[in-house]
Order: sequence, then structure tokens, then C-alpha cells
Amino acid sequence: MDNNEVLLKVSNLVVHYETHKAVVEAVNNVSFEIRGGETLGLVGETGAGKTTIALAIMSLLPKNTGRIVQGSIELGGRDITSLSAREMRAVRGRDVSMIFQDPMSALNPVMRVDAQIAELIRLHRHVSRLDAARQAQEILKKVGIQPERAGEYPHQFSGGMKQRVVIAMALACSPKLLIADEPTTALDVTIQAQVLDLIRELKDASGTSMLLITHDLGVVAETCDRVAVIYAGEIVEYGTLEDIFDHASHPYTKCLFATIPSLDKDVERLQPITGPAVNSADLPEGCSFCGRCPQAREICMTHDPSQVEVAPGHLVKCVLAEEGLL
Amino acid sequence: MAKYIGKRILMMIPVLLGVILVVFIMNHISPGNPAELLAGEGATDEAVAALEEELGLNDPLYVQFFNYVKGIVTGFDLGTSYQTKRPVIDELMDRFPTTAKLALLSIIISTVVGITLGIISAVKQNTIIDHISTGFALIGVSMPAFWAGMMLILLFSIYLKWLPVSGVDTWTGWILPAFTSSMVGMATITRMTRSSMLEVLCQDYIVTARAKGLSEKIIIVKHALKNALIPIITVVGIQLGTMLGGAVLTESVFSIPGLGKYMVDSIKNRDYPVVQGGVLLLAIVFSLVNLLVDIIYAYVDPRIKSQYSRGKKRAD
Repeated sequence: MDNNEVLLKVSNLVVHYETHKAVVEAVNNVSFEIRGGETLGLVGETGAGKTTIALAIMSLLPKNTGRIVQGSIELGGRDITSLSAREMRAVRGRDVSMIFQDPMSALNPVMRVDAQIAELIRLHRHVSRLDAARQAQEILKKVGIQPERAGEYPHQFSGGMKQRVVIAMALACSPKLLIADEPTTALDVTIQAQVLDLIRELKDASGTSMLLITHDLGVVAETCDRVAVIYAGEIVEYGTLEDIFDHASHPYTKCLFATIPSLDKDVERLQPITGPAVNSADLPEGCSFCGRCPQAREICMTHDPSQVEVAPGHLVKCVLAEEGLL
Repeated sequence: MAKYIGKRILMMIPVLLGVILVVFIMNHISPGNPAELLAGEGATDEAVAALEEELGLNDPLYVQFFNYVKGIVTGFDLGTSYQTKRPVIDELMDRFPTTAKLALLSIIISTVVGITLGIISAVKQNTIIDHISTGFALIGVSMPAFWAGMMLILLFSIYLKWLPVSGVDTWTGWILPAFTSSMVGMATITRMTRSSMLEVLCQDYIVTARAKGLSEKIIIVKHALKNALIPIITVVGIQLGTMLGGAVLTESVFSIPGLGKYMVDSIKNRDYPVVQGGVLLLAIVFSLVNLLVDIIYAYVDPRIKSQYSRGKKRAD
């Protein structure tokens, strides 16, 4: 894939979870692009709608409740929201694959790990059983699992090893897009960096683009080319890594950085973001963040701002940006 | 694995000894003098006394117990039936194949139908199909076999005249009894499969399987069912064990010369040695089925298998 070509284009995506009692507006009018070979970081608190975006792209939203209300998801120029279930199955695992948060439960406990990978290879590459098994062993070797252990079951591996298997599975068919949903959250701090390096190395080698979902800004800084900060299902700030880290503009992004302990400054107390995260089943009329925003003004209560380009490619969704005060 | 199986078989010995003890005590507290009953009505006192001596009834209790165990261990001697004067073991073995055949037929029917219905209900949860099959399962557990059996006879044998009313002389004779005694198992297995599948279907690895692009059919059969099997196997094992002990009601309704009917008749006739022998046979069969279930667990779930062989070399 050409490095400047847009691989994934999500436009005006709206996803709702509908139950008998309430409609949860999990994703509201989200748009972003990922280019070939690029990594986009999706940063936000728990419940901000990060995983929902990933599931919407995979077309794996909970069948009975989750629904794409509006918007399109184009992969390589093709809108995948309109694909049939059968067509979508051919996309999943081959063009787009996913690494899940919890490696402990992501693998089938009664199937050998090499068989779980070979199954995927056979499905999408239509090779013989023997070839699939051989390819599975090769990819496992790439993630650091020796052939003599390939025939073991998930319970015989540690958490970090299991995540390596999951990574091997996700990259087995050299997908165009890899979605990594908090790939290191469930792991020990000591192996987080190893796993992250492994993902980056393998994805760079195959030219795969990545959507990295995380709440860890350190992970973003190390891995991403572009960052989208998401709050209450909306992208509140979007830009390059430099835009976000050096010129953070949205009050929420600034608050996020204030919560990180710094090595060079001696700070007595960290600055928490006050108040609870907003309830997606009952979003306020104005800006979703105004209830917790240190710079909130009266107009924020009633006026929902639109995205403003404060610098080329750097978008901010805030009243202050609308008024040119940033 | 072989070591585990050997250990389990050894562990059956104390269980069976316990059962023998209970059975032996039952023998002793049951009313009537076995020698009198064996000698038959009108026997002389001398004949009874001679028989008492021959049966060892004058020995102390612990000697009698030892002899009873010795008889069982060395020659499968479970005593003699008061009714027929034949060895109990022969009487039981005459009937066991019939019961086993009925039990196997009905366990096959209830497993195949139960698992299929359970999967369908789980996949189509809360739809009309689910309601029909869970409703069917509820009716299945609620209907007593004697009533259901008679209704089936009424429909298929009396009105439609398709199948024989009773007896198992021809293969058609097996259809109604097998179906009748499979109903409870079928219903239990349906419900167990449904709940177990529902639990498995919301696990993360099912999402992983979907993310691979696998079809729903493969996900359900290859990924979900195997993980849901453990509780289903447990239920099937219990059903099989119970049925091998004789489907009393079904055998009575269809006049099948099986173990269940024979046991009930023996209780009515106060033929204690037969009852005791039957209980012991039941205990052995139950223990063996349990062992079989535990062995199958290991082949379904590698985590259980590695528990069995704990202590041996671990892969890491």
C-alpha cells in the first residue's frame, strides 16, 4: 500500500446501544482516517467509546443491541458497513484483524494454539492443512514461541506468551489494518514494552496500518503517528503526535496530561480530572465535557461546539477554539 | 493418564466395600430367617437347621461378613434367590443385557436430540424456536414415564397400530420404550446444553473466533460446543448410570424383562438376596460410568487432563 493513500476512512460514525430502558449514544459523529503503514492512537477514558469504534469497524457490535445509526467506514475505498455477513467474514481476519485486551480469555482453551492460528490461515489463504500448520509455526516463531511449544494449549502459557500468540494470530494473514484494543493493559508492566515493541516491529515489517486503542499516553507517545482524543463518544482533539503532545489545545487533553506524573518536575500532588465521566445514555445539551472542564463558560452548557482546525490537520472541538481563543 | 485411571479403579474398592457392608447389614435386619425361606414351606426343623449350618448363619457376624465378601470376590457369589433358588448373579445377568440395551438406546436418543435442541435454543435465544424447545423440555421432565408410556401405547399401538403394545421380541418393540425412557434425559440435556452454550457464547474467545472471519456454524460446532461439553457430559453420565440400573417404570409399562422390573418384583416378593445383589451391581455400574465420564472430561478439556497428570513433568 502506498504510504500516502488513505486505507481506512471513518466518516460521521454514530453508534447506539439500544436496550429496553435506554439508548446509549456510545459513538457520536466520529470521523478519522488512517493512511497506509500509519498508526493512529485512540485515547480516552474507560467508557469513552473506543472499543465500540473498533467493534463497529470489525462489524462485531453486539447483535441485539449495538447498531450503526449513521456514517460510513471505508476500507481501501469500499464501504464495509454495507457488506453482507458473508462478505464481511472474508474481510475479518484477512484485511482487518484485532488484538484483544485480555489475552487470558481471548484464546480458545480447548484448542492447541497452532491449530487456532492454522485455522485462520486455512480459511483465508485456502492452503493445505500441512502448509497452514507450517505457516502457523513460522508466525509463532516470529513472535518468539518455539516450534516445540506450538502444539500446547493456552493454559500452558503465561499471560505475556498468550498475548504473543494473539499477536501472531492477528498478523498471520498480513492484514492491511490491525486494531489493537489496549494490547498491553492486562499485562505486567515488565512485559508491556516487549509486547509493544513486538507489535510495532511486525506491523512495520508487513506495512500494516494500526488503530491503537489505549488510555496510556506513554504508549501513544512511543507508537503513534497521529492521535485522536476521544471523550463521550466524540473526538475532541485530533492531530499528529506533535500536535497533541506539544500543542495540546483542548481542555480535556490538557487535563489528561496533567494527570501524568513527571520525572523532571517535583510535583506534590497530581491533578485529577474532577467529577465522574459523563453518562452516554444521558448526554448534556451543550459540550459533553463542560461539567468537568476547568475552562468552562456559560455558553458551553447550551452550545455544542463543532470541530475547528487550529493548525493544518489539527482539529479541536471546543468553544474556545471556535472563538479563536486557543 | 493410565496411572490416573489405575488409581481411580483402586479407589472404587473402598466404595464398593462400603456398599457391600450396607447391603450385608440390610440382609441382617430384614425380617425372616433366610434358611426357612430357602427351605420352603413345610420343611422340617431339621432341614432348616441343616441349611442354617450350611449357610453359616450360626457363625459370628464378622465371620459371616468376611464370608460374604469372600464369596463375592472369589466367585461373584451374591447368594441364592428365595424365589427361584437360582444364584442371584445368574438371575441378574439374564436381565442386565436387556436393560443395558434399553439404556444405551435411550441415552443415544436423548443425547442426540437434547444437544441439538439445546444448541438451537441457545443460538436462537428468546425467539419462538427457543420457547418451543424449552417448553418441550419442561414437558419432558414433568411427564412421568408410566403416563407418557401409556399415552404412547394408546396412540401408536392401539389407534395407529404401528407398533407392538408390549415386549421386545422384534426391533419395533424397542421404539416406544426407548423413546419413553429417553424423555427425561432428553429434556435435562436440552436445558443443560442451552445454558452451557449461552455461557460459552459470550466468552471472549468466541469474539476472537468471529474476528477471524469464521462462519457461525464453525464457531458454534468447533469452538463453542466443545467448551460447553463438560456439564453436558456430566448430565449424560448421570442419566446413563440411572438408566443402567433399570428403567423401572418403562420396563413395567412395556413388560420388558429388565433389571428394574425384576428388582421391583423382588422387593414385592421380599427376595432380599436379589435386592442386595441388584444394589451392588448398580453401585458397580454407577462407579464405572463415573470413571468413564471423568476420562472423557480429560479428552474434551486439556486443562482437566493436565490436572490428572499433575506431578509429572510440566511443559514449562
